[in-house]
Amino acid sequence: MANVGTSSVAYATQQSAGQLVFIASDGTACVLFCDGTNQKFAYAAPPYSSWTTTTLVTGLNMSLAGAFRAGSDNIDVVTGTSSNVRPTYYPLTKSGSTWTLGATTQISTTASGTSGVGNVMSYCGADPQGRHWIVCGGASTYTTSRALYSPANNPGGTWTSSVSTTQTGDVNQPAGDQIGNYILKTYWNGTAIQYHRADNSGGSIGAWSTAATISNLGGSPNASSRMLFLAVSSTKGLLTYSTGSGIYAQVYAPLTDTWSAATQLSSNANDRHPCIATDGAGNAWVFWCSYVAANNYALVYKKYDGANWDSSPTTLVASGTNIANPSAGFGNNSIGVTYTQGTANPYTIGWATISIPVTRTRTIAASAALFTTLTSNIIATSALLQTATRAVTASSALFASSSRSVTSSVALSTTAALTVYYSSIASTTLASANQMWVVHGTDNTNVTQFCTQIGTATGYGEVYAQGTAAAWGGGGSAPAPSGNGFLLENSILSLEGQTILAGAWSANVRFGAAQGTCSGLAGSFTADIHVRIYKRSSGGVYTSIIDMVVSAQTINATLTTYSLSGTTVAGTGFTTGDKLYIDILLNITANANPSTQLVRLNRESTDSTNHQGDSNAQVVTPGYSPTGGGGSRTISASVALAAVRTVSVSVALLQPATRNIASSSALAATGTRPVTASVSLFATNTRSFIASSALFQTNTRVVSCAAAFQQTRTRAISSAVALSLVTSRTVTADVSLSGATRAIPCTTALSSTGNRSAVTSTALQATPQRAVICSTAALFTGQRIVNSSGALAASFTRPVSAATALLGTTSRTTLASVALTGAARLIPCSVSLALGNNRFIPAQGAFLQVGTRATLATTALFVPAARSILCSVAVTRQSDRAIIGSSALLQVSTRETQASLALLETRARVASDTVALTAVQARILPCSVSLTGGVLRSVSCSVSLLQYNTHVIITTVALVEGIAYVPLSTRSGGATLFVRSGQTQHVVRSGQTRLFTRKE
Amino acid sequence: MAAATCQAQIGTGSSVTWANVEAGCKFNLEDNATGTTPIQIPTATGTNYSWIKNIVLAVTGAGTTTISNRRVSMATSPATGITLHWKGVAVASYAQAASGNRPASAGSNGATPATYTLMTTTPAVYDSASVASSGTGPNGMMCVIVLGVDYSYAGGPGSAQAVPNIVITYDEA
Repeated sequence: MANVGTSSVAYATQQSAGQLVFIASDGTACVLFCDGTNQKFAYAAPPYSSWTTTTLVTGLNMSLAGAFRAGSDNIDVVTGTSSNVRPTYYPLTKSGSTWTLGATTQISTTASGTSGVGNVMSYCGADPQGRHWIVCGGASTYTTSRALYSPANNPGGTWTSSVSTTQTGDVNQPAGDQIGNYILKTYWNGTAIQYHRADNSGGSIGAWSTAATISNLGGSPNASSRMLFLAVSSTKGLLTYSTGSGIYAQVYAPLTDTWSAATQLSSNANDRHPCIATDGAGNAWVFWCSYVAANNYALVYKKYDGANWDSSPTTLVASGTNIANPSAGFGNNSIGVTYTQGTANPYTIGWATISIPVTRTRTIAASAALFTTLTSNIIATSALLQTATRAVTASSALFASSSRSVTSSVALSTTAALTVYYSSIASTTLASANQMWVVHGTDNTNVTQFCTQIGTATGYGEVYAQGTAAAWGGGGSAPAPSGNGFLLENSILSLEGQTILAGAWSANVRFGAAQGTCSGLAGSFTADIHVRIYKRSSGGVYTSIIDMVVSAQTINATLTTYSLSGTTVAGTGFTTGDKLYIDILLNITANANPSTQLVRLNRESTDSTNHQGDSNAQVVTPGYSPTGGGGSRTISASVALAAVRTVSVSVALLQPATRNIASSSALAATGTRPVTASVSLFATNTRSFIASSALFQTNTRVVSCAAAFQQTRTRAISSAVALSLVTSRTVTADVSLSGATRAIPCTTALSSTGNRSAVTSTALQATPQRAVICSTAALFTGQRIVNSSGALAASFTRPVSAATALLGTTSRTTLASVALTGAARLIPCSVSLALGNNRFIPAQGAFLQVGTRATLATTALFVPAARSILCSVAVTRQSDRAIIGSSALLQVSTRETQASLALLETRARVASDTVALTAVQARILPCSVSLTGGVLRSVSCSVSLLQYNTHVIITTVALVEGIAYVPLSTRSGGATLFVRSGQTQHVVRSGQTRLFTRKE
Repeated sequence: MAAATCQAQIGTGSSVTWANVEAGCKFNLEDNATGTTPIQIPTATGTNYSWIKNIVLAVTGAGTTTISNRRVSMATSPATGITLHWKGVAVASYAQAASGNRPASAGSNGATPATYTLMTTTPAVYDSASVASSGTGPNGMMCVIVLGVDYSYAGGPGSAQAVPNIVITYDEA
């Protein structure tokens, strides 16, 4: 990687608004810079070791800025002309690996500044209508910032000024970009960074918004600040600027027209010259020169991913030199950064790159090969399928389950392998054919060969099992079976009632070419070899099973064994008279031999004694099994069959009719079985049991002693047996019984029996009649004779001795000290009564709710209708009472109350002194009585009155400043007392205490 | 900086041979990406696994870049009962797929074998190392992948049952 070049001026790459670096799609990097004399365009391909530099503009009025034209590697550049700083459009078109400068167009006759040196232009690219935009300065005093646009898709046309913002102070750093539907322009207005924008998404350009100071600016930017605004995406723009306290960045949201809080990217006051590169995918990188010491800066950057910033900067170019004015651009997954380096002429135009990782994917198309094991749920007590009879060994545990699973280890199969061998022995059934053996012997022993005439023929023909000199068939298709093949006689193996299964077949056949005689091996020809398998009926009807073929085989003088194979998808059943038949065909496709040409079939067995064949002359079948599946099978011991099972497909047992099951098997729900001793049986009808068997719910049994029985009807039970719910029994002593009739010895505990003779101390309950001895505890009996001290309850008539406690009886003769509750009683003195109607209670009796009583002193009465109560009696809720002094009365209508009685809610009373009255309507109260809530009263001295409607107040009423207070009127509503004080009318309200200072 | 040409490859054989696997990788009980020896769908709760597939991101056209952050994911969610599991293994530790290194069947549905990670549709890093793309052949570690099928799988048997495409994602810079 090499430097771009050199420059005699320090501002060679100075810009902060426009973009000077571009990376084309092929990775070629382009740099705009000033060499101190002219404005240059340089480019280099990766790895950027050699730069090609051309003069873009002659002269130094540099105001370079550019942008890729959308969808191409062509670069649109704007800068000042050589003689002034009037914005001029310079198109650079890429062709191959080079760029060519096209016709230039002066955008504006107004100069963007007195000097074009940097900072005054941004090439903003195209808006949604294809109009190209630039933002630039616009006056020699830098007091104007402008935005101009081209005709749609024609930046070489006549540009139009869209806005020109003029102010008093210098306008530094006009910058801007196309962001979404807006062209946005930022600039330093002398005191702050401001911005405004216009909607340029439509054919007509919207009005520019009123310039406003960017909110949330960080670090106090000033006139020396470098600032740059670029769109990161259509919904985000990024403003970065230098300040006296470091580098800041803010995100602009065009949809809400808002600026984010400022993010401080660096805090060093001497950090300088920030610039931005964006990748168009929402990422941005801000580069700046990080101060280390005077003339000693590093080039560093932070990445913004659309939401977050790098927490710390990354150094791209280490410190040690004076790095200034970086400008960056993105392309081809790289960011290129150019910068000016050095402190004196010549300055170096530096170059550095960052490779931005690109995420790529490779996709693997995936699939899976899966299989599942088929299962069957079968009912019945064994895993048997369609067989008639079976022998199930002992130890199989079988229980009345409806379905089971048998593990795959239960292998049930009757398939027998079958390989047949060609023999030279003529069939007894079909004389033209030879027999086949089913046993393999020793190869090339006891074998012979037969030859079939071919001659010069081609086409199909049959190789006779017994050989033939007849002319070769030579047809264009395979002939029908002729009977000249091989037949499996029943004497060797009968397949009647059997099925040759579907599956793989294979065959070996050994040929040689011979001429003249069968031993004269010679010649060569090409043929397709067929070995055909048939089922031949006794009537000579052939049913094809399979035709195995091996094509284009060369048969020559060398004896060769040819192998054929094939597969059948269905089995072939053999019925009576059916036999397996095989013939061999050749379809000769090339034959240049003489007319004496023979084909020789080798290794036919001559073993008529042991019937063994040669493997070079064999056909291997898929095997056979009895037609219809079944046969008989043996399930080995240790097969656990219980409860629910899943039977794999290999298990072929289901629904048997009968079985023999060895003893010790646990059986249930079967009809008839011989069962050995010690077997646990349930729900059977008839059995013989040995002793110690446990029996339940049987009708008739012979049970040895010590057996435990329940719910039997007739039994002979030895002593010590525990019985319950039997109808009649003879129970020995010590037996506990519950039932109808029993003779129970003494000390027996009985319950719920009809008739019993119970000895003393027996506890009886719910029996109709009993004779209970003294001290027996009896409850709920109809008739009893209970001795004294017996506790009785709920009985109707009983003679109760003294001291007996009676409750709920109608009439009784109760001795003293008995407690009674009832209608009428005669109760001696000192008895406590409650709820009685008529009683005569001596002194000290406690009464409640009686109608009429004569109560002695000290008796406590509540709610009586009429009582005569002695002094000191406490009375409540009485209608008419004569109350002796000190009695407390409540809620009586008419009373004559002595002093010190407390009366409430009475209507008319004559109250003695100190009586407290409330809510009375008419009262005559003595002095010092407190009255509240009354209607009509005569109040003596010192009375405090509240809430009366009409009052007559006598002397010494505690109404200060009042002499005599006469009600002004009769009032309703209560609660207010009007009094007159001089000429003043006073109102005394409820709850108030009003003082008057003057009397009338 | 020239990007490399890359390819997903599968390693097979006792002495590993790498071959393009992007056209198809059949999870089976064979040491290849095409065989149809099937995996048994469990007949009761449990998970059976395929033989391992040794997958690498391979450079077939050298570049001047660096490849890093290799990730693996599924393009879509699999059918119920089908899961893919992966682990990163150094190429030097290549082991030929065999019944012996097939994860042991699990007694629960959807079980992830020990040392493996369940593959999801979110790329997961199996090798973050930066390796230059200047050399052809495997770049970075192998991603050893197995397929699990459990009792809940209702897709039935077949030699080409659908499995989500496997996506190898990587960064190149």
